Amino acid sequence: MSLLVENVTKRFSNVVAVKNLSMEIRQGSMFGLLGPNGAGKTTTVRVVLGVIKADEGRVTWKGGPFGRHKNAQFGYLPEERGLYPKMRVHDHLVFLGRINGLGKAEAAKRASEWMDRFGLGQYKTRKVDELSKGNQQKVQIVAALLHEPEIVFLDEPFTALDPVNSEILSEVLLEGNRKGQTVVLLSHRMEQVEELCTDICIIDKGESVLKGELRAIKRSMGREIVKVAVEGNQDFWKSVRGVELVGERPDYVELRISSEADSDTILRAAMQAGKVTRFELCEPSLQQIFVSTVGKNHAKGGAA
Amino acid sequence: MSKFGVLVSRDFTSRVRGAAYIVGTLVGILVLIGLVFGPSLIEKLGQSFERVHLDVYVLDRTGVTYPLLVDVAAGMGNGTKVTTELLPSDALPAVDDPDFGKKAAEILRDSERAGVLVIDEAPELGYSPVAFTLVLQDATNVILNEAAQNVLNSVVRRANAEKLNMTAEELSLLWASAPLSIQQLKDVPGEEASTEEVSQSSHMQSMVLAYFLLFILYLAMILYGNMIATGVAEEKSSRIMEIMVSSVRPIELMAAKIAGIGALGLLQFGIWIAAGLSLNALAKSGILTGTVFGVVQLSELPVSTLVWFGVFFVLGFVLYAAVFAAAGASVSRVEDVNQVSTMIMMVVMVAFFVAYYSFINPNSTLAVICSMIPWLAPMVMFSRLALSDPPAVQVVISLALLVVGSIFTTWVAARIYRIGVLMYGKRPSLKDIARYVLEP
Repeated sequence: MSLLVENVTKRFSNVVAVKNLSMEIRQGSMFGLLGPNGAGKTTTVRVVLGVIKADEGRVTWKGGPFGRHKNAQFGYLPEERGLYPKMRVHDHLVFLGRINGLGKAEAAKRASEWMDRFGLGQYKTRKVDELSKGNQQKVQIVAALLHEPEIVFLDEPFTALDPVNSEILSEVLLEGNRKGQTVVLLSHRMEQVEELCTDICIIDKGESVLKGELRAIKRSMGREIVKVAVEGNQDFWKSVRGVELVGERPDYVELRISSEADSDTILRAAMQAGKVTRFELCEPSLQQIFVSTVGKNHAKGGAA
Repeated sequence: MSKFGVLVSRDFTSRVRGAAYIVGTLVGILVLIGLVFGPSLIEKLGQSFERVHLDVYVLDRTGVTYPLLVDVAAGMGNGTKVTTELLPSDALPAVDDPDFGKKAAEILRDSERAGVLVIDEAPELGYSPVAFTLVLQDATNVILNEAAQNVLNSVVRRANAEKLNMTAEELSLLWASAPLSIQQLKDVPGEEASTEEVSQSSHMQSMVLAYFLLFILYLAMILYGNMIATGVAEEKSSRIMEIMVSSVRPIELMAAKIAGIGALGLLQFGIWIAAGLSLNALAKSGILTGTVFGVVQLSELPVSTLVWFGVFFVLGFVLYAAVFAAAGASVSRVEDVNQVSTMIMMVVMVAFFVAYYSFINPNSTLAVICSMIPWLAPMVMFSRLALSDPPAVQVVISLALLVVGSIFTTWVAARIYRIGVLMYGKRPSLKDIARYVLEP
């Protein structure tokens, strides 16, 4: 029971935007579709939703066809935000709710509830273009969730949201997910994805470069990151073999090691170099997984 | 309500409450008020305007012309009033005398009269025994000058007639118009052939009315066509399209836009027609002004013309609306809409001009051929039907081609729309557009 993307390819004239992409989005999962700018995330979702047609491959949901007008059971927050600028916010939400199959009264009731939840209560009769960017984005998030779809696709939902609203959105998404809603997040920002997602797929240049359950991926990467702080010495690690610097912070360094056994060597080297105030063995962050995976794939390396 | 209904009602209600629409409708009503009451108002104003008063001193050196002038002045229509006062013939020196101006000024300085008319013998001219010089306090009033010319023309004609020993009655025979009755031959198979007199004034009246309706057709296509193109481009540029196409099919979106804005147009024209008819009734009853105006009789329009108007309004609207929608879908920004809609508007204009030409000659080859071309038919066939009785076969073929053409055009437009609506960036070339249409 899942959304299956099988061998999807999409070309735009000479450019291959998505190349033979396959992935499985399990029903009820929180799925992160990650990738640097221009990797093909948005194109992939457009193909999945049937907004544009794939040149090859197919998309199925619970074994049947998926896409617009097959059923209205999905919600979509597009990358390019858009609402009718001259419509009143509440009217607009009701309109979108009805387009997605809600009755008028039900749509009106839900629109009010959701607007209150996102702190938009006082804007009900305002026109869309009188709202700030962040508030417009909240309106559009509400539009994607209003009809309580089985599966919701959110393209960069956290941009333009302040920390308070980001928190509200995270809560809303987790709550929906607990009720069985499948959530697909498209992002190149790792913090929220790491916090929310159970499954990820990293794509780069239209191809999938890493996919699976986030926990399993992290486990497979091993506990290979060490954060060490030595008073007055940031260079002690240079004498240790098989160690690579991944991050230099004002008060500590982040090192990658080739195997867990070597962490002792590092600790010894650190203690010889001075007073060790911090020594932490940890999982690689999604950020690091992303950077190293995409970096390997790129000639230049590093995500935008 | 179905999705389609929700879409149509959004397009309709979001605009119907807009200031542009309300103001536009009101301005239309004001224009109608102007059209209904304007002619009679202008006539009224014109009357005071036209009642020219030529009030002059006359200095008659011929001694015989002044009585003719007085006689002609007495016989002038109510447009022109002539008042004269004869001066002694030595009141002014000769016209080419250096003191002429000074003396004329002395006469006119404290006078209410507009000027001095000097009549001299002019044996050398041949075509007129006398020559006139008119000195005016204000010689820039073109209407007064023209009235003077007319009055004096009559005086010269009378003088010439006397020279030829003709009486005034004999002279008027020379000015008679030809009695002519123009008759339309009606020779329909199966009916007795007959002729029917065409009254020039009633033909003019139906031409004015048909022209008015034709202009409304033209306006509707341009105004509402552009509204559709702009609406689609707005949806594209505001990127609302993206969430819309993920829940609704593009063809539904396009059809809903055409239906919504079409309904808007019908409502507006409905209001205008109702307003026009009631204003017309008011004007005719004379309640407002106490006088019955000789207004254009909207209510005397043949019912068949109104029915044809409705038919061609709807068919023509659908035909052009789809094209405008496709045009809107092919640009990314509202500012670019004009570039593409101009091309469509040119076709509408060609249709308008051919239709206008068809007024003068409704059964010319050009008019017949153009009334068969779907893109031109709504206006050309309408103007032919409004002013003549084209053969039924032609009407049927024209309508059939128009319906087929509308369906075909809508199909092509829908295919362009379907893809164009999600394409951003550079404007598609004609080749790209052909690809949109042919792609499965």
